[in-house]
Amino acid sequence: MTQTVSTSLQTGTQTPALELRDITKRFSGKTAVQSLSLNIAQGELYALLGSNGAGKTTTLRMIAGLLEPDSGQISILGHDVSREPEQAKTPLAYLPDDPLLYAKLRPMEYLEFVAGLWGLEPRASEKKAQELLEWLDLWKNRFELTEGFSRGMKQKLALAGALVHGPRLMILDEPLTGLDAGAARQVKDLLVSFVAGGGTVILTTHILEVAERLSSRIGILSGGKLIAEGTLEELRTRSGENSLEDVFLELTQEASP
Amino acid sequence: MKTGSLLWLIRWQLRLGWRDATARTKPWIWVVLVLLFVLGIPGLLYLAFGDFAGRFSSLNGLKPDVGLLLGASGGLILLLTLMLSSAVVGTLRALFERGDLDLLLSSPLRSRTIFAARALGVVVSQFLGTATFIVPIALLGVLLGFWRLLGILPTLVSLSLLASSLGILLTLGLVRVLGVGRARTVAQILSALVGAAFFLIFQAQNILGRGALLELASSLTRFVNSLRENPAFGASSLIWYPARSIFLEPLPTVLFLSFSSLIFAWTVNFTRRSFLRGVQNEVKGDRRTRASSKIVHFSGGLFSSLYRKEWRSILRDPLLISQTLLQLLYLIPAFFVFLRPRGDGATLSSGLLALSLNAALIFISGTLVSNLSRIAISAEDAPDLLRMSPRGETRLNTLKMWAIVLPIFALFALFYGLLVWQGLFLAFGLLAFLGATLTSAALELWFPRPTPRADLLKRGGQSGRFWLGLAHFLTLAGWVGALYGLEFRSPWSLVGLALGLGIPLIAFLSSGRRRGKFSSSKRFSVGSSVS
Repeated sequence: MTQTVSTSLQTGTQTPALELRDITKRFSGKTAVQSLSLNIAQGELYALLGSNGAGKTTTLRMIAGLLEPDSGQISILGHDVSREPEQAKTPLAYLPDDPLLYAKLRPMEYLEFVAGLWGLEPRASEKKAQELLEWLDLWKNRFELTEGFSRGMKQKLALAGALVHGPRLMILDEPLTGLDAGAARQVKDLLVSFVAGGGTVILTTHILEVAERLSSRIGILSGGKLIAEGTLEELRTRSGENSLEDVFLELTQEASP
Repeated sequence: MKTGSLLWLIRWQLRLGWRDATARTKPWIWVVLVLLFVLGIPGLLYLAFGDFAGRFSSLNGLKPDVGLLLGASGGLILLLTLMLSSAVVGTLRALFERGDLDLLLSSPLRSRTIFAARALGVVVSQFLGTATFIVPIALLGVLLGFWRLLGILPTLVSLSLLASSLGILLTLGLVRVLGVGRARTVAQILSALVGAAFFLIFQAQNILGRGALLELASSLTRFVNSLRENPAFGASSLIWYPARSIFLEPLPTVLFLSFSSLIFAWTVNFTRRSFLRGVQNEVKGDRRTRASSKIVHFSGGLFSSLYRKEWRSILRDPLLISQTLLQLLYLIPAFFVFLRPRGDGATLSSGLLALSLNAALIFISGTLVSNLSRIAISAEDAPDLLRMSPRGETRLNTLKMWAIVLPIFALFALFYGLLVWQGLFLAFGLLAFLGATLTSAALELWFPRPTPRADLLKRGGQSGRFWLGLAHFLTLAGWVGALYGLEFRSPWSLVGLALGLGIPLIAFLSSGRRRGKFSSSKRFSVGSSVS
């Protein structure tokens, strides 16, 4: 498989890849996300940063339709997630930090199931699945059950599942957790090529170097609120610090009560 | 109590065991059960056999003969088999799964003490588990004056020591060859098979027929007579010592206890050495999983994908199969009843036989569908994957229900074919079967209780399912009642139908209300957290 992941991006459209308007979510009276608004254009790689408990995963789960916001609106490529879930979810791939896999299925069987869920044409998706497994170095493990896979292999298989249906928006929660250096490089290269092909990526990470090197824009969450947003240069200018780590610590400490 | 002593360690184990037990069942329930056992059983025995108190004291002077000793030995072997399968599960928990062994071994405590405490824990659980059923027999013996039956207690101690020793050795072997996870699966399957084997033994008359059973009894008599004539197997032979300890004969009791204690002490020492050598890291078998070189070709279509995924996941999980599909084994005796030539000890009339078989099919198919639907719908491995897919969760779960129900229909068509062949088919039976299977699946669909599949068979995996289990049971009972009522043209059929249809209807209405009352965020909030 070539290293470029192409998407069927509509050219010339101004529709944002993702739009969050005034999203709020509470759990048992505790506010997880408060009046959050985001506008992410197609072709962007957006890094969502924040300390533990800042509301990153809750935000991603709301975008993926796994949680419904208490108020506010989420649109994916112009389709409202709660009113048009089928249209909104079709171009979406969500990769949580704990891979969504089946212990008793083999890699190709898992990808067959995902292809079925997204209603893909079997022959084309089978070919694509094979290419993905070969590229992710899992083809040699195609006859093994997933339950015997290492953490990194599981993460890579989940990534293949996310890519097999040709998404236009990828949401990744801590995508590099548990990956060795080689696999982490592979995933980073994939994200860059996905964005180069017109796709959009939103990721959360605690590895600030990844956000620093890959992202076109960065948002920083603290206590469920977006406390800062912009390019790395803009954030540096705002806080007067040099490295993203210093910027992040400065801004989150400022925001904490 | 001296810190770090054997008793101190055992006290810690008991505390953990008590917390484990009370986590699932409230402490007062245990207190009530113990009181019922301690006071209730002797009271019941006195009420039932009080008139015969002391009348059998003459039995104490008799010497058991070879026939009785053979029977008692057979009983001991059966009991040992039962205890062995649960000893393997207990050993896995005590030595490999509790997770505190590394902490203990890294402490200054003597390793011999640690393993002795662990192994004694297994022995105690074996003893208590079996004593519940065996002690009433000893009590009855005392009540009737046949006090020698008190020998059951030391025999049970010896058996617990032996079963635990064999269980520990078997577990060490299984873990070495298969790894901890698969060893647990094998142990659970063995346990289920032993249970099923006992059921089949008790149903021997139905399976073999009375004639075959009588023939077996006469061969046994011939065998016992041949033993009597052989001096090596006379009543004083060493081979009968375990059985003779049941009757509290001093030398056999002491020797059997000493023999099992020696085996136990050797096992503790062997276990200690195996652990210090690193038995848990010496897995010989392929830790990855069975590989299959079958090429997968994508089938296409949502239903086909779901169908293949569900059945692959179920059929590749031997533990799940042993706990669910094994129910089919219980059908065997029912079908032997009518596959045997008529007149051979048949006691049921043809009409009643047809009714009973149809009822059995309804109950077993309903339970099977209920269990499989639970695995497929409530214990979905990756629920988030389904929720984030463009298909709605409700639609996917409905398709899953059909993916489970249709193969069950095909399977039971074979049994209905047999009924038609034997002239035992009832049209109302088939209708009740369809009603029972569909409503059982629908109950799980409308009232799912999400449980991670990995936790499904763990202790505590059943929590929160009491009312759903009761609803399943009442629904099936309703359909069986409806069948009986319709066959006998009784108005009670309406009560059965009301249960069979009413309970699923309530589940449907309440699921609708839940959907209306709560937003989907409530349903999705299972396992979600602020982060």
